[in-house]
Amino acid sequence: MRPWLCRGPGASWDPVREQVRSSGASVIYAAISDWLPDDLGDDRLAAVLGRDHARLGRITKPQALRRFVASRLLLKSAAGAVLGTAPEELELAYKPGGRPYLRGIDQLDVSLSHTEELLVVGLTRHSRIGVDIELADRRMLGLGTERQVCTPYELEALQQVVEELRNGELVRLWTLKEAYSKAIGQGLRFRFTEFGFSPRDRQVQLLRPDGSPVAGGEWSFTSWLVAGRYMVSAAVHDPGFGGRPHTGDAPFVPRLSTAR
Amino acid sequence: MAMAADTTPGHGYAQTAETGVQERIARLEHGFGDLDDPGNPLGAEQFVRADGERRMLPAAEQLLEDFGFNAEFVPEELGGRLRRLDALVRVMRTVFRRDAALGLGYGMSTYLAAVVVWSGGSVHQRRRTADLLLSGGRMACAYPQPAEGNDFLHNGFTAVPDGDGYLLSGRKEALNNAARAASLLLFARVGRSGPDAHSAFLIDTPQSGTPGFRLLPRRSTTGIRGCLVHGLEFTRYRVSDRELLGAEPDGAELAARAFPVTRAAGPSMALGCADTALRTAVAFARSHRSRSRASLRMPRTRAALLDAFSDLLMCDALALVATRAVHLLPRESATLSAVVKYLLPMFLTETLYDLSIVLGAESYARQGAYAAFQKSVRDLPMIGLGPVGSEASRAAIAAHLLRLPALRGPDSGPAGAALFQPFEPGLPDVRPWEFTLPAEGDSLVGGLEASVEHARAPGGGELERALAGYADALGTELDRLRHDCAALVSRRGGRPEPRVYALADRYSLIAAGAACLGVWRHHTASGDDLLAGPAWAVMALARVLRRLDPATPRPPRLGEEQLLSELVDRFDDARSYDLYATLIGR
Amino acid sequence: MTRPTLPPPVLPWAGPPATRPAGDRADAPVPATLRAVREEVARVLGQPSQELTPELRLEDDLDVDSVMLIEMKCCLEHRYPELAEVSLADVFLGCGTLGDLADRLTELVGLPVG
Repeated sequence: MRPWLCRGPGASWDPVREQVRSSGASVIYAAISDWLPDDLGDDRLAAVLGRDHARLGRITKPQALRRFVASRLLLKSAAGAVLGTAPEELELAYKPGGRPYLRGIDQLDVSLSHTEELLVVGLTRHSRIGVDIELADRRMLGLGTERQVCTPYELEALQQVVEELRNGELVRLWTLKEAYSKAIGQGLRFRFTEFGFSPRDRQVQLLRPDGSPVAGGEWSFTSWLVAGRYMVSAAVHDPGFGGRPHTGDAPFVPRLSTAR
Repeated sequence: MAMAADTTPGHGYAQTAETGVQERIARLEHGFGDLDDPGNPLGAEQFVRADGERRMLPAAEQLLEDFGFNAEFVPEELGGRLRRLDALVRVMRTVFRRDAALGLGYGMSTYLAAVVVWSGGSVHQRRRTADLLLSGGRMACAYPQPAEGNDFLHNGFTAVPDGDGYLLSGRKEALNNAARAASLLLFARVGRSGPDAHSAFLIDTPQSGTPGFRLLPRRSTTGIRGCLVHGLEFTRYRVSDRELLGAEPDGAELAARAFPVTRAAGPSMALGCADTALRTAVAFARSHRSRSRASLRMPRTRAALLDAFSDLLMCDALALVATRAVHLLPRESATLSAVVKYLLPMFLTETLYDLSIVLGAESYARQGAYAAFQKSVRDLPMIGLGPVGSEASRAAIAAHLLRLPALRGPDSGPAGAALFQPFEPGLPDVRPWEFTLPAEGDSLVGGLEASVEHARAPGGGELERALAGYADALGTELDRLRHDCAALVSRRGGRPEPRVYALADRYSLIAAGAACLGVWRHHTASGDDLLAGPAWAVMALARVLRRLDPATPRPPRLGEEQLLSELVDRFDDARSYDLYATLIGR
Repeated sequence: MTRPTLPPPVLPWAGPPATRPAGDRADAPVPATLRAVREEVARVLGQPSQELTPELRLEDDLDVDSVMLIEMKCCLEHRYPELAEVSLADVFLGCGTLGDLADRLTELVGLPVG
């Protein structure tokens, strides 16, 4: 499963539906400019944004505003496509810690990230997903970042990496931690130095500060280099209630019947 | 704890009953002893060890047996002690504070079966079941499976008519207590009644080796590991028509009469589990120096603990209303219990994630002083049964909104204070046949305006004013919800899903807020009691409102300080993190 | 029927919303910590510090992301070494504006008010 580039509202969502159906999760990326409507005052935009529309008036930074609108449109369109419903029929809400979710719909979990002009959306029919994107060569080394971010084990492992690849490795670790932290709805509160990840050449696992693995195979972590310049990571949680055996025509969102 | 003044006849008896409940809880707590004492053979450390070995603690089961614990599930008129659902939950919480597996395996799994017998069984079936429970026996049950299922809820039974009896076939993969139950309550499809119609059967568990019956191997689970979970398989196993419970095909009605009880009580008992998780996190924070990252004085830790305590109080207020509504508002209890079943597992899962960051690396320690935490993390989801468990609840709430979109109280008048009073005995008897009758209104949410007016009364200090502001905001959310429900119902074309599910989520949150306001409004507490002041309600409402509107302002610092002080006091005194502040251990 | 108006809403950001109702604030920011915040944030954002007034919101006005937060913390640590013992969340959680951040800094480093 690789992140899939969505070129705009007119693009087909079949690949995303297929990814969610077969592997349980999908990661989508898109350019802000491809998802920015011409008219921010449009009624349909208000309908799609729902409660988020009120927030438009409070964001003063133009770049942040563009990104806010485009990201919500992308997320709701992608979720709607997978759920078989129009985006305005979904209500995007936020947990107290800021984590986005589809209100009343726990059959599909979502996550959102962005950097510069790129947006990333994660979708899963398992219990939880978190995604993060960062410029693969964003400067992190030498600013003291590694001390705030890495476990002792990771700091040591980082020293083993060839110098010119070291910053990139730190970016990878960063995005994995952000993805996990967002998946569990903790954001900033998550103490990055208490959870670590294994070096690149092994299957990515969650590690204790000393490098020993945290037991339990319910979490999977993946990183990709996207569009040649960006590091994207995803953390997916599948608690193994057997997953949802979603195949064929069974609707994601159950239909109401007269049964109790 | 304050006792309500009341002049109704029989009040003295009812008051004795409440004293009796408190006395039983105290006795049970004393029997279990301190959670955090490593020398206590029934302390948290022992339960963690037993969980690691995938077994129950024999001493704990013995304690419950000596206590005659099963009598808590048998109605008084059949010789037991079951009278009020909220009182049962309080007693069960003492067990769930120690071990969810014990709570389920010794108690709740049996009660899930028995509750169907109490409401739908014949005189003979009720008597036999009461005798079984009172002598310490167990039951297992298999409810009719939902339309879409995950593994744990998969499969079912069929019963083919055969002469004057039936041939039972099929399997259920995962039933708790199946290996130890003397009696089984099963729902099976009986073809001649229609493809989906179920009937209920109460049968003695066949002996091992009986032809047509097979106990499948024990299943391992990530949580409640002490529970004995087995599958059962029947192959043309003969049951007589005397083993039918109710008539053909009463299955759906019988299950529907059980849901208001089980959906309200189950998650409510599980609050005991969450209590211990919070307590463990507080212990961790308390053990650190004040300048350490984990200390109570640091904003992040303080916020996480306060948020968790606020959420537990809010969940308890909602569960209190739902369990008392079983007695007071039977026609509305199907919806209210669905709200509990939907909301509490979601809240508690999130609470545990939030607390795990306080403990950091210790949150997944399997040994040591804080190992009880990761056990709670693994146990709690097993009580909620994952996303499928919530679908049926959400559907029930959605149906309520589509039927009564105006969400007004019934013409018969507002719900009285009794709905909201934690220690108030004297509830009317349960009338299960009313559970499936249509509600005439929505007493809890429909009564919100009155609670808002009460909160807006002039005077009062900073916290009262904050409460008024939050109550007002909750009223605004209700207005919005009513508007959106009306719009959905009058919409031409298209289906109500998925939009109605978002409304069901908002309704549930508003109901939780209304429960908090109602408990505050009708409290009879005094003095230092947490319930005597508005701080807890301010903090709980802030949490509810933030989920409805992220722009909700933060509560005043005074509210945080008062609740934090209470959190620490209850840790030092070992009192429960719910509305009751029950003494734990000793 | 008029309803009492709530204080102006503020938005959550990786944590609960910050700005408290006016009149319910802790003591006004000490000039030293506010100056420190303005200068270090200016350094990270590459903006003149005069533009960074206390009521500016980190997310909606300044578009600060989490990597920048780490950089800010590192910069503030050079000024206040005791911050090294404090977690990122304890510095930033609940701080919606630069003024909130200055308040928080005052609490954390225990400077006298004045």
